[in-house]
Amino acid sequence: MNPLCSNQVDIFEIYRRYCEITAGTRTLGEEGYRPDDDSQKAKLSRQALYELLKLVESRLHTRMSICDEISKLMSKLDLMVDFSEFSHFYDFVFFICRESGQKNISVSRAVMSWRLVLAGRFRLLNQWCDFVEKNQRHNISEDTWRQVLAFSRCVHENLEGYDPEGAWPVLIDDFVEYMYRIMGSNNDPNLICSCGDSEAQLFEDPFPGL
Amino acid sequence: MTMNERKTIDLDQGWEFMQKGITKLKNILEGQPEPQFSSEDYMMLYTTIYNMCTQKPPHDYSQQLYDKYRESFEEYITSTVLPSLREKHDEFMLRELVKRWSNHKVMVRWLSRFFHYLDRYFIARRSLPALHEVGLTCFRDLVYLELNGKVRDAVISLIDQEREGEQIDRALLKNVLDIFVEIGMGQMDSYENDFEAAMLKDTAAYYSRKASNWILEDSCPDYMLKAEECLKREKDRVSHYLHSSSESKLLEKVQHELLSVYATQLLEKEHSGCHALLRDDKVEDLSRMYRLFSKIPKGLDPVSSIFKQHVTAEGTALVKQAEDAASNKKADKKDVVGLQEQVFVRKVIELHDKYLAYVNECFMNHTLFHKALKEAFEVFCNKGVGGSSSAELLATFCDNILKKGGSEKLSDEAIEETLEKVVKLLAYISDKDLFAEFYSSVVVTDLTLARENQTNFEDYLGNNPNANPGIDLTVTVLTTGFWPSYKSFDLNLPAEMVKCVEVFREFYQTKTKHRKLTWIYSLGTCNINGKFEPKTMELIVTTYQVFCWKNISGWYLSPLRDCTTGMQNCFEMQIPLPPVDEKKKVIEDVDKDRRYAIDASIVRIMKSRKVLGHQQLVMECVEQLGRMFKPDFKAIKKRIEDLITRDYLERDKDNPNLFRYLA
Repeated sequence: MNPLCSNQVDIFEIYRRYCEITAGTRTLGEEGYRPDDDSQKAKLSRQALYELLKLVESRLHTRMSICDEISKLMSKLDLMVDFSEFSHFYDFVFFICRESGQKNISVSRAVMSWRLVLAGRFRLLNQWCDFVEKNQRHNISEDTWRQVLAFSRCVHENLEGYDPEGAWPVLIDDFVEYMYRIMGSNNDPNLICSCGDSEAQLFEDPFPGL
Repeated sequence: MTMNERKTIDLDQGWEFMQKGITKLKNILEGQPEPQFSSEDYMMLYTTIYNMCTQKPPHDYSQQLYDKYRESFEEYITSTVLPSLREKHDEFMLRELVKRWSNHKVMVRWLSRFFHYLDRYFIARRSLPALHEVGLTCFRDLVYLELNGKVRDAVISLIDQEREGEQIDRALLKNVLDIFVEIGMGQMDSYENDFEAAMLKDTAAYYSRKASNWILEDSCPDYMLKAEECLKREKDRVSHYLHSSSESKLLEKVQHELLSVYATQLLEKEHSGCHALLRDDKVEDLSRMYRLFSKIPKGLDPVSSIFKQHVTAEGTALVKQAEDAASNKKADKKDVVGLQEQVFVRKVIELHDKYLAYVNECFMNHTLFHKALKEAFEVFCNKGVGGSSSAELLATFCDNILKKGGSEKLSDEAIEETLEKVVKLLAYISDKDLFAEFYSSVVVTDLTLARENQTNFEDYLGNNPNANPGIDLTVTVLTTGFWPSYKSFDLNLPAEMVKCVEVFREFYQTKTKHRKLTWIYSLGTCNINGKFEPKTMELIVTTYQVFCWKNISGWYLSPLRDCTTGMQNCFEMQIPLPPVDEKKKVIEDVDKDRRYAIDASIVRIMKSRKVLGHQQLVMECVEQLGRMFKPDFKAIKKRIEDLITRDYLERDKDNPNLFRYLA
């Protein structure tokens, strides 16, 4: 049904469309139609994303090739400078990992993608991925996915910056608990995370290969 | 009589006449022989004043007479009253003072009558102090100011003598203290500043001394007896001779010195303090303790806290006892499952009865003690015993009570009463929903309808002898939906039992055509007569065990033969029991119900609030659900995450700790 031939759409094109949809500039291709209602808009963009996802599935057959596609895209994007660009890309990774219309992504895909995109950006990346592989039985929700990025930005090796009162997903809480247990908890838990609204925490050790 | 016709009286002449009258009055006061004033005398004196005040200036002597009125008092006081007071001391001085004060008041009364015309015209017009007031002021300025310190000390020393058990003249003290009140002329300043303050200080010092000895020498009950007696006596003292306004201040001092200062030391006396009194059930002393400590600020706090500790300790001991018994049982052999736990619940109820009576009687129903009792029970009621939660134990207990009510013919009142006690305990259990689930799953026994059905079945068998399956069969038919769901398994029934089931089904169809019978074998038991070598034994086994037995070994007891040899009356046999974990199922069901409850609560809250911080949402949720159970924070968080995935909520784009409700 889709007029576009599958081999004409590459990962860059998908990403471009994804950005358009999420930025709200493109809704189902109907020119000049601008819904006022927010929820209406959200509904339309959800629909558009769903269509796009179907397209992705018809195009990308093999699971493992996703990994390559993401790397390819990553190498072309200028992600080191602008965090909002990276954050956008990060959300896109979740989107592209969704399988057969599901809302959540499998643990193995999530871990694989984290290892790829958060390399050099998350000091506890290895521990995190090992922990999730070992302990998480259910799929990873979009909310958890996003919160992991926020979490990666505000904790250091010693977990300072984690606010136990915060609304972290339980998976992250469990991870912190687990880390404290294996580290011996002689850290100062009083430092409060102020992530999410500041660009001040720049990455001290950017991944050199990109 | 007109003024013009009257002869003018000059001051000296007039005063000389007045002076005579005054001297006569003084003589009377001093008790010297002198005839009483006649009305004629009085009239003459009054008229003289009247005349001297109504003459035309410069012969109007009002001012001079007003001054001389005061001077008369001053002269009398200086020349007679003060010398007689100064030479006396202590109680004698007090007696003299009372006498002098009473005389003084007489003198004021008479003189103010003689000079009455001044009050009516001269004083009123010039707003000067009235004659009565001038009279009293003289006494105050000349006598009271000089002597009040001495008087006060004498009074206090008498009070102390009385405290030490001596008899004193209470009427005298009453009169002396009245002077302090009256001299204030309507104000309490003199009484309060010149007497009461010093008296209170002395009282404090007195009881401070006493208390410091008693606290070392006396046991807690003895000390409290003394304290209560002291307070009673001080109260009595106020009613006899102190001013009533002193009562609260005086008692407060005494309470402070006797109780507040030594509260901790007293309550924690090792062998007789609050702990010991609770331990030894000294109800009367505890009541006294309540009476005393309820009067001092925050006095009951430590008492209630010790009470709480005590009840918690006793309750925890019961838990431990039950634990030990349970683990001994386990090591020993599992036989009568749950008996220990039943004993435990029984004991907890007894404990609650006992200490509720304490709260109601010794502690006068005070909320602080209700709270202490509640908190104590919450502590140990929420500890499990032998792997069972207390919710479960209570539920089983209720079940047994109802069963016994059926078999042992416990009166309805007795059942009701016991159940009511359980309900009281239930208030302390945080997982009330767990109790409800357990309770409805164990209460499956007391059914009159089912019994009636059974009677009908027996009649049916009597009327159809060839339908009789050869096994005595008792069936309890229950209505689905009234009772918790039980797992039902399709089992390979032994032929004997198949026949039973068939017969019953036929019978049941005579009663009703359109009902489906589902057999719950897990609730059944079988009585089997085992024909063993020494003698025939009746075995009571569950229906499941019968199936396993039959399937494994036919009806023979081959695997068990070893066990039976050599023992005359004692059999040990193990018949495998299929694992049907009802308990686990109940807990799973409850967990599921709780998830729904949390979801519903979150959606309710967010629907009305639209945007809410994470902490607040969790707190409101806990509050809403607290009546049913104590939701775990993590459980709530998980539900929030799930609701985000299901698009009921979203995180705020800028603040991840803020949730928005998506309509």
